[in-house]
Amino acid sequence: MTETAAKFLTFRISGQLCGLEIPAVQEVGRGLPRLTPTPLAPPEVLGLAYMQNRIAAVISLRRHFGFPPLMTSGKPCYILVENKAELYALIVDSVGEVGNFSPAPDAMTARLGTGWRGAMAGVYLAKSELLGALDLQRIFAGLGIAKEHA
Amino acid sequence: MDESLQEFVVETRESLGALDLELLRLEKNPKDKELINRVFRLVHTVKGNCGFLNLPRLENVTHHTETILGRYRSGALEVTPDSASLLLQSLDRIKAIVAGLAETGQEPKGDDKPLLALLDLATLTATPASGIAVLPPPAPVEDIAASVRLSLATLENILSSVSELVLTRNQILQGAGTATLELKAHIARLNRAVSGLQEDVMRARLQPLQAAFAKLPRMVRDLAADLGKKIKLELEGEDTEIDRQVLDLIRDPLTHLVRNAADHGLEKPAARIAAGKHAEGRICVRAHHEGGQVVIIIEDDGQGLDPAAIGRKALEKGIVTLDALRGMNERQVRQLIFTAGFSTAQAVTAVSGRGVGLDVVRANIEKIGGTVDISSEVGKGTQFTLRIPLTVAIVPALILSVGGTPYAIAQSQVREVLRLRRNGPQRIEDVGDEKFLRLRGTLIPLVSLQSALGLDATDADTRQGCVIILGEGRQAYGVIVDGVHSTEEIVVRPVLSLLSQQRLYSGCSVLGDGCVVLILDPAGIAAAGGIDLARVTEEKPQAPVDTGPPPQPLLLFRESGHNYALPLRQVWRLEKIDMSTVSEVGGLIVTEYRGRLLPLCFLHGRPAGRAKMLVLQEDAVPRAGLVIEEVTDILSARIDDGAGEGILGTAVINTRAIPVLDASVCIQQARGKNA
Repeated sequence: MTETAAKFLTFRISGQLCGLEIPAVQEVGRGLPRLTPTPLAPPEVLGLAYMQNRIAAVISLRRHFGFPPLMTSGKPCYILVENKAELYALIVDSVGEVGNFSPAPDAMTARLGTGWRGAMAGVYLAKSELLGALDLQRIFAGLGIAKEHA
Repeated sequence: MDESLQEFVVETRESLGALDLELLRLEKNPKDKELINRVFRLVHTVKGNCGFLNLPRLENVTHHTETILGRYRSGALEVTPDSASLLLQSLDRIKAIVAGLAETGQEPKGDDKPLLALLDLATLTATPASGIAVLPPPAPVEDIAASVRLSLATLENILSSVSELVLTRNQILQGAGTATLELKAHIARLNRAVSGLQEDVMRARLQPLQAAFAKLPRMVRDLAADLGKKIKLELEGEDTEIDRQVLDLIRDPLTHLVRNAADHGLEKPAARIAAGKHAEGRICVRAHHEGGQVVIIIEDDGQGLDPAAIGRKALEKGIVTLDALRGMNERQVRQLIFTAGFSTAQAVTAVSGRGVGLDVVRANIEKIGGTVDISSEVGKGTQFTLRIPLTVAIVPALILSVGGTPYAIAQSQVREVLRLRRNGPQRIEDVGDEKFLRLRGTLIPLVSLQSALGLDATDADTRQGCVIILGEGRQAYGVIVDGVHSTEEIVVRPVLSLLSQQRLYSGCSVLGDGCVVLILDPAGIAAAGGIDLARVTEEKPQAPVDTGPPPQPLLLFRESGHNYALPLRQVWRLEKIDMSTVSEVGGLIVTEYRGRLLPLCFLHGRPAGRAKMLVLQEDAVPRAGLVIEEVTDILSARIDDGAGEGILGTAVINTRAIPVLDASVCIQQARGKNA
């Protein structure tokens, strides 16, 4: 985690402002892709989809963080990221803008709430709130794919 | 030069620079273990990369260098000034090859045999002969190859482009229904071109098995020395070709089985002589093509697999219960060695006891759609038979559905598909908690795919679904699914790593309509359904040994009201054919099949309208089409000699004698040799 200002794509999960550093993001889109369910996979895996001529795993960040499904009529959005040559579509509530953010002083990070803070790679200052920088590696570890598989 | 090669050259040059220094240091401190370890790791890394980039010469030199370093590392040998200079010499050779690579992008030609021989000699003798600094200059080798060298990466790129093309073609074909006639004609041409291209690329990926066999002699020699045994290794059919990707996947299982034969199969010389055998044990590895598959047989003339010993061991290990064991025949008991946690060796040896059991061998072979079979006779020897598909990248698959979701399963693994009907001939029987299907007098255990996938079972088995029969002969089992939809050629992609822990899935793919499907792994389904393939019980115990020929899989079919059979291995595919589309060319009746003309053979004259065609094969290539009414069954039966032209013999099936045709005669007939 860098302590200098960084460029993030911002998005929301259950009201919380989150961000992903721009180089990690491959594509952003609205709506869910056509899903093939994957029985026996971890619950946050909604399924597989054919995106960018490749097979992507579709992951609900709401489920990952333990929130109920999005109830409003608004369409969720997906953010495509890559990990170890595999494609992942992260489903979020809405995607905001791209901007530069400075790290939040340590004293303020506590305001993010313990649940969020533990899951984030860093906390940054947005206009009137805090932005949690998503820790992708931790998410992948939660899917059981952090270690090299046999 | 391609990128990965460039990267390799840069990296290797860096390592070599470091290696030079380390070796010189080693010469001064020959006992420095840490130093030896470092040198070993450096050489090992270079060697590892060679394998990926297909640099046989470099791989060979580094392999031999690594072997001798391994001996230093284990303390079996001591570094002497002579051996250090030999190491420096091989380092120079490695450098020269890498320099050539950097210049031309290819390994320079040269003869490494004298150097390798010296390395081998040094590996075997505690103090290498002196005077090794003088080596004859490598003799130039004539380049007589009339072929083009193609980097593997390029070939892989072509294949993945072709795979995409196949996919797009499938998508276009699905939408072709609404196209104009003109467009349809274009699509048909595209279809043929793509099919042809696909076949050609698959052929280009074929490589002789030699690459997998090459390391065996060396390994067996080392093993013989380590184990104090005398072993003769015979290799046959090294030129049998197989897909490069499959080749990589069978290398380990093959090595393991040969190692297993040397370690566990063959006895020590004294024991062999006591048993009246030649002191020298024999391991024979033979390969050949058979019906779109490569068959590899690993045979030894050792002590054989003693069912009693295996049974005892399995009981000790808690792999099987006494009751279950009592109900097993010898063959089933032998299959127990494929169970996880089983090892027949009295003592775990350094050779085979590496924690990798035969269960892994079987799992790896099955993962690529192959099978492993054992036959053995106590005191005489053991035979492992591997059947492996030629290619895996694009496979014909059966698309089925469960809970509204499509899944794919490789057609090569499907024996039969049955539709369940209420009051139909096939019924499901409950035996205790388990469900069985009575099929031609045999009880076949059933697994519900729905429950194997952990989905809510909504009485799947009572619905009018389908049963897919998987597994050979007595190991057959059925999988209950909601429906079977179509067959499609699918491009197999590796399963995503988040699903790789699930044994149920062996890969994924994209269907013609853009929908992603998971490819099911039969072994995984069996395991999830609690069916132990080694323990599947059989109804009738096998009859005592018979002297007649062994039964073989036959395909039964009907044409003009007559019943015939063909050996299954001579049949490539079953296709539909519209007789109005066949044409006559040069006195032959032909149809278009996968972009080529396929001559047709008729048993009772030419029918009209729609019919079916058995595509007959020879040497794994479709040669002719035999027009038939319909396929009636696939089963195993013994062929008895029978007189008759073009007939292999007769098979007695349900008390009726059915003529078994010889595909090669049909092929000749189709080609006008006898028409």
